[in-house]
Amino acid sequence: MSSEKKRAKGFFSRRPALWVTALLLLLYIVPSAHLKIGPGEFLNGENWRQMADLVYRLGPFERINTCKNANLVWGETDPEGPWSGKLDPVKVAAVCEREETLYWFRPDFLKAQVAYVGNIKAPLLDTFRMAIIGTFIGSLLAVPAALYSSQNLARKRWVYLTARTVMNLIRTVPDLVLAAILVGAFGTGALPGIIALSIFSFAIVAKLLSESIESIDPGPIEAIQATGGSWWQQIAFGVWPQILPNFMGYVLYVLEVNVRSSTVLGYVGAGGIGLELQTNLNLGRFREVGVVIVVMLVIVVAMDWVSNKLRERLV
Amino acid sequence: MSKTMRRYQAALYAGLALVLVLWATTTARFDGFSWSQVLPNILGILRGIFLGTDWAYAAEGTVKLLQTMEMAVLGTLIAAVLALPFAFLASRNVAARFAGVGRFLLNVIRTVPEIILAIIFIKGVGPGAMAGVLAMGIHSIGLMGKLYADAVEAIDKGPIEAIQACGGNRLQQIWYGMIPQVLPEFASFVLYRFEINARAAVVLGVVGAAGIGTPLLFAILSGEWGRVGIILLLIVVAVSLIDLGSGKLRKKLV
Amino acid sequence: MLEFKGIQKVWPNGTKGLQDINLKINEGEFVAIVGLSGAGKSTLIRTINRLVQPTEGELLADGMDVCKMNEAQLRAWRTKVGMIFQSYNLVKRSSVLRNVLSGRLGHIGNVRSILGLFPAADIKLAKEALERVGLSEKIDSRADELSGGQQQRVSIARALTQQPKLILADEPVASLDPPTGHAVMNDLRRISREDKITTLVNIHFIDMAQEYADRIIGMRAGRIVYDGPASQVTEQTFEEIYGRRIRPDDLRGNEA
Repeated sequence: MSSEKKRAKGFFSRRPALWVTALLLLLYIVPSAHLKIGPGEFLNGENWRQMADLVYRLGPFERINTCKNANLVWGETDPEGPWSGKLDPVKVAAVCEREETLYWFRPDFLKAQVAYVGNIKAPLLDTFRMAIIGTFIGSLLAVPAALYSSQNLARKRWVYLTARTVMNLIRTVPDLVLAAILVGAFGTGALPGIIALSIFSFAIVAKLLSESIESIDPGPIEAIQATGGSWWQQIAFGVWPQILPNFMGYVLYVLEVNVRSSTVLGYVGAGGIGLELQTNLNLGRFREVGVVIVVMLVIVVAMDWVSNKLRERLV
Repeated sequence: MSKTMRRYQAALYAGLALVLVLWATTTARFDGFSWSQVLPNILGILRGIFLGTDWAYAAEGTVKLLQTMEMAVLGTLIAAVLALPFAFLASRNVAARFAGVGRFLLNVIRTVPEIILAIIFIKGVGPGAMAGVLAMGIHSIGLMGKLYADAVEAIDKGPIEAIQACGGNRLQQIWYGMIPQVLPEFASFVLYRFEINARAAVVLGVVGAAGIGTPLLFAILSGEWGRVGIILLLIVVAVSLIDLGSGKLRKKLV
Repeated sequence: MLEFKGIQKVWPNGTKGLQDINLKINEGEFVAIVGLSGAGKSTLIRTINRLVQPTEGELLADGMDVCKMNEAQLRAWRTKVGMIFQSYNLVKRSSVLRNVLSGRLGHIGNVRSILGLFPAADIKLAKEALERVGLSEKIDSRADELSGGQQQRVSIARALTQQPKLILADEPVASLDPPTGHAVMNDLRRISREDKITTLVNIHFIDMAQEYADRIIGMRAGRIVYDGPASQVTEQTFEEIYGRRIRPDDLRGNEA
């Protein structure tokens, strides 16, 4: 090593805190200056108030804009609220000196929200259907693809290279974007969702599986080769038993990922519960949006739990 | 467990999986689907994306893409810093019996999808880069905190003991004994999360944050497939480059 | 300079680590502590810098009781005690210099240590220490680029940078091959003689203990069962300490 190089190395290793900090600052300042965003927006109380307002309205709360004059509490209310029709909004606005927003917990809203879960049963089932079918088709197709795209099994180098490249390229496109394009092709519904998830499951499982195939013990394959077994016999008896546990693990992993993404895919029109999220959001029905979000979270947590349990069994 | 029990169990799970698949496939209904409609659609889209690529948009698209990537950088950076206290709270060798609380918090954070967070932040700070950055910054804490905590739990206690033995205080023990051990791993996790966030930032643009996602959604909705083509190309190139570069760096780090 | 008075250590699970230790270590002595693993050697030397807190007794160092020192006093005492570990305990990803400099941490404040701004005098000390163990060349290498013997020398340099009055070495050669082990023991003894540093070495190998130490302390089941000059020790003494016959793996073998 030349002495200059050595000195440079010494400089970095002797002041790690300094240059790590400098790098982080640079990575913060340049993009935030370019995007013109700063901590100001985050520290702005009005923004927090608006976010809190949304969170309240996602839950079973009624928003009441009240107005305090002397000891009187006047309010402009929801048409279904307790004071509907009792106050003249125009008059209230005219005499209002100090405005205040109150949030009232409404058990009947909660009841309506629970009832709404029943209304979204069909898209909910669609969500699971999309995830299951997507996982099934994708994993099934991934097996032959993985065999062709593993370096130690592939018989032709160009097949291996193209298969690898295609799978890597597929994984660079975000799932929601692919789903949006497929919605353009097939129209709204579960079908574009299923196709998008199939394509993704295919790419992920094929990649992971081909990596496991590349790290298997070549002994059994050679043994079958030595007894004169064909390529397919080598796969069936030498490779498949070795990768089966890995394969099942990957399928489970992809199912987990698919359930997660199938809940949001509907946001671009690809069916499932996400579609409900988008329509309610556009219509400003925040109470329903809240229900959909809670259902999404429950699905994700449940799926996490189930796949953890299954994984314990698998190992 | 005996071998036959194992077999029965395997058969049970296989059966269960089969039932699920059968249920899903037989009950799925695709209303209003007809090849005569869809086929020309698909052909049109493919022709637009691959043959009619709108090269004129390349320059503007690159600027938008840069915005997306900057959002990803900022979101990752925020999470990288905010995840630190959570991580120390979640590692058993630092927080002792409070570690369970930390792990639980991280799980809760991880559960809320980025899109949901983005929707809430868009309401607060308005549509734009800030909402996307915040959504990524908060959501990424979950995974990064967990990875950090695992790394902290796996460290060698020896160097810390050595610093203690030569009279170093608690801060010095952490700074000289622990941080150098975990820093390369932390950096590697940050890079890994950046790879994920580069994709997520595109999606957040679709939902209403800034960047390439917004024009992409408009192009899809208005059927300008040539523009979709160029945007997709930009995304694929950028994400591939990021994956490649970050993968190489990560190999060097650990 | 060191005096143990009735030191006891009972672990939280009830096992007795040390029982009734009464011991006097003189200035400049090179002491080997021998015994089977689990005999309490490690616990004994760790009580000296209170990495292990004794449950009973007094440990006088220069007239102060180590067991009763407060946080600041303890840290001040620890800066005077260098420690060498079986597994070197270097930060593998940090440079050799940074590892050696960490021996000065007890002397510098928080701000300086976070920024890594060691006084020039400390850097000079660290460089001198590295020179004495013959590793000046490796000053900017990462610790994990070094061989085991070199890493142990770096940890000796770290202890030297402390300018200690006392060096504690906990099985310093157990992870090294015989020639390297001898080289490390040679370094330790040379430094002890040159700087008049009192040195306590935990060691399993009886031949090495005899070769390098002035005095040998034998331990079994948390008690001191032998204490005498190294010249008077015979194979029979060791058999008494170990409570069994001497086996080939109790010997490290000769240099090269």
